[in-house]
Amino acid sequence: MELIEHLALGFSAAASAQNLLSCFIGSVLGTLIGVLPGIGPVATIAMLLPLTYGMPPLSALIMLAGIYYGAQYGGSTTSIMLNLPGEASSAITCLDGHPLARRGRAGAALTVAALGSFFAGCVGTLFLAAFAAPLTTFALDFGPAEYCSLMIFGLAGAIVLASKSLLKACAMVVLGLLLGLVGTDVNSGAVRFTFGIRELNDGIGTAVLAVGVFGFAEILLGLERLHEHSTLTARCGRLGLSRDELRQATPAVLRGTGLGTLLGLLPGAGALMPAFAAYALEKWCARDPGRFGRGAIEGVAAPESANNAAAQTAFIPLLTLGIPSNAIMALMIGAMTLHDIQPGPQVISHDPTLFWGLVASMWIGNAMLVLLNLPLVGLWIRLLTTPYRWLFPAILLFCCIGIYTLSHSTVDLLLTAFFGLLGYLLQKFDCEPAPLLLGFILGPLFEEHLRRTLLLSRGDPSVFLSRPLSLVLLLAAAALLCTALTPSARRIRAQALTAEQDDAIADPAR
Amino acid sequence: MKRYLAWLLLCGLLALHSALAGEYPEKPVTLVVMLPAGGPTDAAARVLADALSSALGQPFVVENRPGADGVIGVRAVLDAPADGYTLLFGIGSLVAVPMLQTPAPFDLQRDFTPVAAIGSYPFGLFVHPSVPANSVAELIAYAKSREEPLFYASSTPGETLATAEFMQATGVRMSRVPYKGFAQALPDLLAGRVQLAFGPVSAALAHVQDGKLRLLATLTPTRLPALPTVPTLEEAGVRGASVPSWQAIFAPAQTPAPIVERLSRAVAAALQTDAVRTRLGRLLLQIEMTPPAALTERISREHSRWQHFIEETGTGRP
Repeated sequence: MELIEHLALGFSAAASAQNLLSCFIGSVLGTLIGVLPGIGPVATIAMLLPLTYGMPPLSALIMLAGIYYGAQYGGSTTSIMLNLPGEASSAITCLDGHPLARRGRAGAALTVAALGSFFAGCVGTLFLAAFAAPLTTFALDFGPAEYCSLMIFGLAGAIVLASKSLLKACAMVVLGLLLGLVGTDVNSGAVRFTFGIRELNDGIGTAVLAVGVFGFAEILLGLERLHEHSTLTARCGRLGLSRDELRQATPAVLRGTGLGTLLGLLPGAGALMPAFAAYALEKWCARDPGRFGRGAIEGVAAPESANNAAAQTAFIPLLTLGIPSNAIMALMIGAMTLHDIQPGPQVISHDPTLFWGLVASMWIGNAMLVLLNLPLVGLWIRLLTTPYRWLFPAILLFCCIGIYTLSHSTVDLLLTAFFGLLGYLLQKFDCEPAPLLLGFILGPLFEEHLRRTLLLSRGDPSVFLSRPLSLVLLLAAAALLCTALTPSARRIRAQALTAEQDDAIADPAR
Repeated sequence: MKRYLAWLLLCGLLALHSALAGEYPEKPVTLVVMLPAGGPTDAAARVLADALSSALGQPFVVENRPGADGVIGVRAVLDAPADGYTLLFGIGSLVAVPMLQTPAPFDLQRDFTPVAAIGSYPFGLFVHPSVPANSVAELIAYAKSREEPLFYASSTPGETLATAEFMQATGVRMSRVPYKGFAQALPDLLAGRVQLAFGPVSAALAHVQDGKLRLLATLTPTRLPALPTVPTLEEAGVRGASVPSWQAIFAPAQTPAPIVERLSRAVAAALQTDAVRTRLGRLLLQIEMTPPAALTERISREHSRWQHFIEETGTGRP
C-alpha cells in the first residue's frame, strides 16, 4: 500500500540519530516553554531560528515542530495545577482540570491529558499522512460565510459552557466581545477604544487577558484562603486513573480527537476553537452537565485531545497550501523558506522525504512526550503542596517574565494586573471567566468574517443561508441555544446546581 | 548603605570606562523589527543580524516590536539612547505611516539617519485562474467589460497604494476586500472568492507554479531572474504603480557619525558574502545595497509620491 511505503520512507528519515535528537530537543523545549505561562512557542521558535541555519532542513523543521506540539502538552500542566493557562489554547483545560487538582485528582487529570494528547496526536498524524492532499480543498471551501457561522455557533456554545447563571454567562460573552473590539479596525484602519494608548492599537493580547482573568485572579482568590490553608491542597491522591474515570474519559478522548482533527484543518478558526468546541460537545452530550466546571475528567480529556489533534492537522493547510493557521505556523513558513523549501502543493511530490519524515517525526515526538510527561506527573503534583508563600511570588514572577517577552511592553504587564483585578471582582460576583475569554477571542474573528462576507456578497445577507455548510452551522447554533433555554434543560441545570451546592458544603477542600 | 554606594560608584566607573574606551560595538546591539516574528522582514533581519554579529564581534539581537503599523517599534528605538546600540530594521511603508496618523507619531526624515538599505521584496499582480486574462491588457479589458467590479485583496498600506495607482492609471474600478495579511487573503484568493491581489511574490510563487494562481506581472523595475517570462507591470503598459517594499536599517538621528559609517560598511560587506546572499536569495529578497545618501534621496522621492497620492485620493484616512 502506498501509505505504508510513504510512512516507511518517513520513519527511515526521521529515525536517524540527528533527527531523533532534534525531535527530542524540540519536544523537551516545547514542554518547558508550555509550562512557563506567557512564554510562548512563537518567541522561542523565533529565537532558535538562526541556530537552525546550519542544520539540514528536515532536522530543523522536526525540531521546530517539536517545540510547537510540545508546548501543547506543557501548556496543560499549569492549567491543571495552578489554574494558569500556559498557552491561551489550554485555557479551557483550567475549567475542570484545576477543580480536579483541588480535589486531589491532579494525577488523574495530568495522566488523562498526557494520554489523551498522545492518542490524539497519533490519530492527527495518521490523518495528516492519509488525507493531506484531498483535504486541502475542504480548507478552501470554508469561506468567510462559513467562518462567520462557525463563530456564531461558537458564541452560542460559550453560553452553554456556563456552569452557573445563564444570564451572567451572556453578560460575560458580551463583555468579552466589547474587549475584543479594542484596537485597529481592519477595514477602515480606524483605531477603536484605545484611549490614546498606542500599545492597544493591535488589541489586547490573548495571553494578557487569559493570564489575568485566570492566573492572577486565582492568586487573589488564593490570598483570601491564606489563613485557612497554606497550600492548594493537602491531598495529592493516587496518580493513576480509576476505572470509573477511564470509562468516562475514553469516549471523551475519541470525540475530542475527531472534532480537533476537523477544526485543525481550518486555518482561520483560531487556536482556542478546537479545545473549546470539544469541551462544549462533552458538556452538551453528558448525562449530568452539572458535573462540568467542578472537576469532570471528560472536561480535561476532550479539550486536551482536541488541542493536540488540531496541532497536528494544522500542518495540512501549512504544508499543502502554505497557509499558516497561527503565528507559529507562520514562523514555520519562515523557517522553510530559509531552508529553500517553498511551502505549497509541491512539497509532497518534490520533497517526499521531507514531508513524510516530518510526519513520522511527529509520531515519534508524541511518543517521546508521553514518556517524558508521565514520570513528570509525580513531580508536578508536588507543586500543589508548595506553601503559598513560595508558590505565589514564583507564579507572579514567571507570569510577568512571560508576558513581558511577548512584546517587550510594560503596558501589557499593567493590563494583566488590571485583568487580574477584574477577574477577581467577576469571580466575587459569580461571573465565570471562560465565556469572557471566548467572547474576546471569537468576537473579532466574527466581526472580520461577517464584514468580509457582506463585502463579497455586495451586501446580501442571504449567503449565510444559501451556502449549505453555513446553514448547517447556523441551525446547529440555534439548536444549541434552544436546548440551553428550554424548560427541561433548565430544570436539569437547576438540579445540577443544587447538587453542586450540597457538594460544596460536603467538600471542605473546595 | 556605604557598601551599596561603593558598589554603585564602581559600576558607574566601569560604565564610564567602557563608554570612553574601545571601539563600537562593545556590548550587544538590539535590532528592532517592527513586524512580528516569522514574516519575510523578520527573516531578512535575522539573517543580517547573524552576519553582523560575526562581523562586528558582538551579538546583534533581533527584538520584534510589532504593532500600530510599526509605530511601536519606531518609538521603542527613538526612546532608547542614540548610541548605536538600538537600531531599527525598517520597511518602505514607514514613509507613509506618519501621514496616515494624526498627530504624526514620528518623522522618518527628521528622526532617523539611514544606515543602509539591503534590498526589497518583489511584489506581483496575482489573479485567480477563473479570471479570463493571461496578460495585464486582457485583465484591464475584462475588468472594464464586467458589470460588477472585480474584488481585490489588500492588507498593507503599500498594497492598497499600488492597487489604487493601478486603478488610476488604467481607469479600472475594483472593490477592496481588506485582510490582516497576505497569508490571510490567500485562502480566498485560491478559492476565487477574491479575484486578484497585489502581493509579495515569495508568498504565492508555489501556487503559481502549481497553476492555482496566475502571475500577470511583477512590480519590479526589471524582470526577476527567477521568473524571466513574467513581464514587469511597466512592460505590460501600466506606469506608476509600485509597492515601496525596501528593507533598511536606520539609526536615531543623533547617533554619532562614525558609528553609522562603521555599521554601513559592515552591512555592505555582509551583503557581499555568499552565505548572506544565498539566504536572502532564498527569501526571494532582491539584494540591492543602497548607501545612506541614496536611501535618503529615495525616501524623499517616495515621501512626495505618497503625499500627493493621499491628498488626491484620501486613501487610508479613517
